[in-house]
Amino acid sequence: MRKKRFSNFFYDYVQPLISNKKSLVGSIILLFFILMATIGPMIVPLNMNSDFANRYQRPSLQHPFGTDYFGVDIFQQIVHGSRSVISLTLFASLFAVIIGTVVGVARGYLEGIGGKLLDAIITVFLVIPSFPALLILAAIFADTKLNTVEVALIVAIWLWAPLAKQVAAQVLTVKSREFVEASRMLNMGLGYILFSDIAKLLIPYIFVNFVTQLKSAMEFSIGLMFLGLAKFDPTHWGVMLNYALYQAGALYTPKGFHYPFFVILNIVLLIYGGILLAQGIEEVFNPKLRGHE
Amino acid sequence: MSNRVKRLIAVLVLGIFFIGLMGISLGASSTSSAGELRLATDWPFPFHGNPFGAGAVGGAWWFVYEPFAYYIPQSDEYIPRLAESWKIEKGKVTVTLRKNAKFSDGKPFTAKDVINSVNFIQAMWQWPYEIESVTAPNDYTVVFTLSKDAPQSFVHTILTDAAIPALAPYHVYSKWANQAKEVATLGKKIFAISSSGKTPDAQLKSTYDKKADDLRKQVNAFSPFKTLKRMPVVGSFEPTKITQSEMVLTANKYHWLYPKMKINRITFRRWSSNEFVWASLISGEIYAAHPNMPKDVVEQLTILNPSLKVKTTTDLSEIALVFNYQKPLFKDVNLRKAIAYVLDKSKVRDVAVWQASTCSPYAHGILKSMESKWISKDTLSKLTKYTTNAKMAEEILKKAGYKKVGSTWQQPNGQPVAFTLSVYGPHSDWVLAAREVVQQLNNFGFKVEMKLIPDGMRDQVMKSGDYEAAIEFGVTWQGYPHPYSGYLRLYEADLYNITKFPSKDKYSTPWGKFSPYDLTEQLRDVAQDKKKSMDVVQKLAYITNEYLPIIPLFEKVLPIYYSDKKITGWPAKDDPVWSLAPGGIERVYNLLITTGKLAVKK
Repeated sequence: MRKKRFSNFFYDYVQPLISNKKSLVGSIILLFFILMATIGPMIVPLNMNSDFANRYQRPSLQHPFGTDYFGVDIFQQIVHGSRSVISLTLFASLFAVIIGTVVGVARGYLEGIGGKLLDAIITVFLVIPSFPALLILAAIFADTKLNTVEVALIVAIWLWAPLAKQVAAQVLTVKSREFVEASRMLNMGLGYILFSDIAKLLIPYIFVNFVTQLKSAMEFSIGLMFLGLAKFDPTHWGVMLNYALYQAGALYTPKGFHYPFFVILNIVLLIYGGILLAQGIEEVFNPKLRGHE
Repeated sequence: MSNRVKRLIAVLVLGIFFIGLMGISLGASSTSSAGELRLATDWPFPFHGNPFGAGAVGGAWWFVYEPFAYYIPQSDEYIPRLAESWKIEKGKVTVTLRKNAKFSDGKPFTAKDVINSVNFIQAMWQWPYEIESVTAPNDYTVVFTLSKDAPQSFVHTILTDAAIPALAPYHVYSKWANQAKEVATLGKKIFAISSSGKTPDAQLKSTYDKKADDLRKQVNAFSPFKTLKRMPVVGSFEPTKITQSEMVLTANKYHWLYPKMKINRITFRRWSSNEFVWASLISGEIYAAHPNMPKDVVEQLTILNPSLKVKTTTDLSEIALVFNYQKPLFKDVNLRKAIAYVLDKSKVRDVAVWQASTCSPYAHGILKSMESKWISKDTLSKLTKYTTNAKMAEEILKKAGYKKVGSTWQQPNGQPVAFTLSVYGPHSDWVLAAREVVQQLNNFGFKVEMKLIPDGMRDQVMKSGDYEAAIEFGVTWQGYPHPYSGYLRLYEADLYNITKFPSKDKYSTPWGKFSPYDLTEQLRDVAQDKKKSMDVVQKLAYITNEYLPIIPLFEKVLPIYYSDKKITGWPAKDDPVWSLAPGGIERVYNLLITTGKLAVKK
C-alpha cells in the first residue's frame, strides 16, 4: 500500500518536475547548495587566519575563488558560510510563507469583524518601518543568545505581511467559484474549505513567493548580525559582501575584483536556482500554463 | 491648432527641458574657480548657521571660528590667532586680544564678544564651569578667573578651543545676552554646590531648569542664516552658499590675515561615505581629504591620480582591547598578561588600519609616538615587553592554575576561558580589528565570540557595562596633548567609567605603592611643569604596563591625501604643522591658507 502511494507521489509530482527543464535545473542548483551546506564543511577545512601579505590572490588550484582582503581563502568561507546562509534564509522564508499564507487565506475567506481585524493586523505590519523596529528588537534582545530558528522567526515577522495581502486578494477571487460553493452546500468545515479547496490553488503562487523571499531574508539576517541580534558569522555571504564592498574597497582595485564577484555569483546562483524551480513548478501544476504547452 | 504648431511647441518644450537639465548639471558640478580649495565634510541641512543648533556648522567649524591660539604638538609651540599675547598666573589667565580682528560683517571683535560667548556656552552646554568669571578691564583685554578645582591643563583649553572667544558674537546674540548670563551664573552656582559634596537647593535647581530650558529653546531655534541672511563670523571664511550636496565658504575680507590669503573660496562636497571620498580624490573632484583607505585602493589611487600625495600623522589616540572589571574573569592580571602575549598586534593593525603605527611592545599608557618624550630609558628597562609569545602566555596561565583541556583553556575553577568581544558596528576599522583579535585568541584556545554593537547604541552598551571585553579608544591625547589626558581617561574619566578598573587600589612599583587615581590627580596639578610631570608619569607608566587595565592594539594615524595638481604650498612631510590635524584637520588648511602658503597653481 505504502509502495503504491509512493509510486503515485512519484508519478504525480516528482516525474513532472524532472521532465520540466526549469524545475530540473533549479532543483540541481538547490541540491548543490544544500549539499554544500550539509557535507561541504566536513570536506573543506576552514582556515580563517589572516595572511595580509597574501591578500587578493587570484583564483588558482590552491585557492579556487582566490583570497580576500585578509588573505583568507574565499572558497572555504563560501562553503562554511553556506550553512548559516541557507539555514537562516530558508527558515525565515518558510516561516514568512506559513504566516503569510494562513493569515492571507483566513483574511480572504472571512468577512465581517474577523476579516477587518485581520486586515488591520496585515496593514500594521505592512506600514511598520522595519529598520527602527529591528533597532528596538536589538535593544530588547541585546542580552539574549538567539538560535537560528528564533532569528529566522524575527526575520519572518517583517516579511509575511505583503504575502498575506496578496494571498487574501487571490482568495477573494477564488472563494466565489463553484467548487467552493459546492463544499459549502455539503457543509464541509471551514478548515477543509480554506486549506483543501482554496489553499491548494495557491501553492505555485506561494512557492514563487517563498523563493523571492530568500533575498529579503538574506538581507534581513545580515541586518540582524550588524545590529548584534544574530551571532556574528564572518563567513556569512552577506557579511563577506559587506567586507568586500565597504571595508576592503574591492571595487576600487582591479586586484580585488574576484572578491565580491564570487560572493555575488553564489548568492545569484542560489536565488536563480530557486526561481527556476518555482517557475518550473508553476508550469507543471498551473493548468493555465500547461494549456499553452 | 495645427499639427505643425503642436510639433513646434513640443520641440520648444523639449529644448527648454534639455537646456534646463544642462544648466542644473553645470550648476551642480560648479566648476573650479581661481583661489578655490575643494574638500569634503558634513553639515546640517537646511543650514542654520547657529553653533548651538542641531549639527552646529558641520565641518566648517575651524574656518568660521578662531581660537586664541593654535597649538602645534610636534614643536610644542603656540601660534597666536585671536590673542596677541597672554599671561598665566595662579588661577588667572589674562588674554590681550588682537585689535585688528573683525567679524565678516565688518564689526570689530572685542572683549564683549568673549564674555558673551563664555556665558552662552556655559548656559547652553553646561561647560566649561572651570571658568569662574570673565572680566574685561578694557575692550581688548579679558581676564579669566578659574575655579579652584580647574586643572592646569584647562589653560590650554582656554587658549586653543575655538568655542571660547567668539562663538556667540554680541551683536548677533545680544537679544539673549542677559538670559545667558543669568543661566550661566545659576549653573555655576549649582555646580559649585554639587562639587563641594552638598545637594543644591530644590528651588534653585527648579529655577535653573526652567530658565535654562527656556533659553535653550529660543537659542536652538535661531537661524542667523535665515534671519540675517548671513552668518557673521570671526574666522577666515564665511558660509555663503549651502545646498544638500555642496557647502561654499567665502573669504572674510575683514580677517586680519585676508591680505595674505591666496585662496578665497572653500568648496565642501558632502562626505556621504568613505567610498564617495575615495572616488572624489581619484577623479580630482576634491583636492584633500583624510579617509581611511585600504592599501590596494591607495595603490590604485596613486596610479590613477599621480598628483595625490599622502602624509600620515598621529591621531593622538590608540585603539585598544578593554575589559569590563565587573566580570570576574578579567580581574586576574595573569589572564590579561597572557592575552597581551598572545596577540600579534602587527597583524591586527595590518587588517584593521594598515597605515596605523605599530603599537609599542609596552602598554604603559603613553602613545608610541610620544614614548621617547615621556618615558625615560631607565623606566623602560623596568617594564615588561609584550611581544607576541604564545609560550610565555602558556607559562603564565599554567603558573596561575589555568589548564588546557583538549584545545580549550580552563580557568582554575574549571570553567572555560570564554567571553564575548563587543565592537561598535559602524566603526569598520574596529570591526576588522575585533575579527582578527577573536581569531587569534580562539587559535590560542580561548573561546571568544564577536558581537556587534548596533549604530547609535555604543554609549548605552558601554556605559551600562553590558559587555565583557570590547574594542575601544584606549588613551587619547586629542584635547590636551599631554599624558595627563590619557591617564585621566584611563583612571578617572571616560574609559574608567566603562571599565571600572580599580584605580583607587594601590599597586606596587619600584618606587613604592601608589594608586593610579592619586597619581593622576597629582599629574593634573603639575601638568604644566614638565619635570614634575615626568616624575609622576614614570610611576603611572609602570602601573599601567604591569597591571594592564587595557591592551593597546595600534596607534591611530590620520592619513591626509592632498593634491598638488591645482594647489601648491603644501608643507614638507616632516613639517610640524601636520601635527595640528588630530581633532580638526581643517585647522591645518586654515593655518596654511591664512599664512599665504597654500595657493592656486598657475
